[in-house]
Amino acid sequence: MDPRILKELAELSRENKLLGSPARLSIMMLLYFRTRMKFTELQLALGLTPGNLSSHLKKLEQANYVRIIKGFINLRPATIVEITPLGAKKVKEFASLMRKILRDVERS
Amino acid sequence: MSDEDLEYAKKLLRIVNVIENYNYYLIRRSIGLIFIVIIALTAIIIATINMIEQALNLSLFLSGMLYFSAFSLFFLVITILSHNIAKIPEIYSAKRMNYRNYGGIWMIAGIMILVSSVIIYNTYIPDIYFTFLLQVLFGVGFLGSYFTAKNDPDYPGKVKEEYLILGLVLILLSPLILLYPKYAWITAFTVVMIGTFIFGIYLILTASKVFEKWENKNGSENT
Repeated sequence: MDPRILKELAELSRENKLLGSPARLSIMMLLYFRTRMKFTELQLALGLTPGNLSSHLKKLEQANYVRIIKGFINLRPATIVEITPLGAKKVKEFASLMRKILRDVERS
Repeated sequence: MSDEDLEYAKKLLRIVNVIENYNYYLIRRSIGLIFIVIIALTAIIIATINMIEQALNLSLFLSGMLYFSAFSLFFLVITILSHNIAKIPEIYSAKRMNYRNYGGIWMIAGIMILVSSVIIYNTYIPDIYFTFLLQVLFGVGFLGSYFTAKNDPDYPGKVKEEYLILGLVLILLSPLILLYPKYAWITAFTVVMIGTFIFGIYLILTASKVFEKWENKNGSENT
């Protein structure tokens, strides 16, 4: 890949460490379109291990990007992950920054 | 830069475009749904009152009162419930939309319909003029929505030309009512109701247009 794109994307990742991780960005993008998902659904969609997903979700929850709700669905215990307005705002901001970089790249 | 990189960048741009315009997509679908709900409920109300009218053989005054009460109640309920019908998750609203500004022209059209019905049905002016005015005012309402959308880049759902087309269809077909007074109500209901129903379905089916528009714009910028 073009070193210039890599440099700019690396800068973008540094600016937002949380969304700079591909796994966390994928979690946030999925939640952006679905608003809320079951833990198992997220795990299946992303192919992550439960431990790995838990660790990413903990970081996102600490930053108030997602909300983790423990509840029951059809009388079965379920963990539901929901995106917060702040999380959605951050996804949009990240997307805008990405667009800016990619447009420059496409033009050059 | 290699072709592969460019292709990758384009794919990422498409994802970014979907993220940035997703709220418009949802709002466009909601607007379509509101129009379908309004038309469906209007049809039910008209059919029910028509049946009551025929079964009880009501006088013109009583049936007029019945229509007036039913539609006043209906529009009150729709105004209150439209926020819930068109509710999109809070996370997608980039800024709080003031729907009152967008509904202003419809409020004026509604008052004019009400005033014209009172004047026409209490004077010797033929009833078909009310039917004619009803269709024209619906057209004016849609044209008003078009001009509001034209001056507001953040207009909910980015619905613009669609309002213009429907508004013009309603206004241009309104002389048919005066030309064929015998079929005045049938013409008005067919044009207004079927037109608006198709409009609602069209908005839902073409909701993904909000993404295409951006891509075209982006493409023309690059050329």
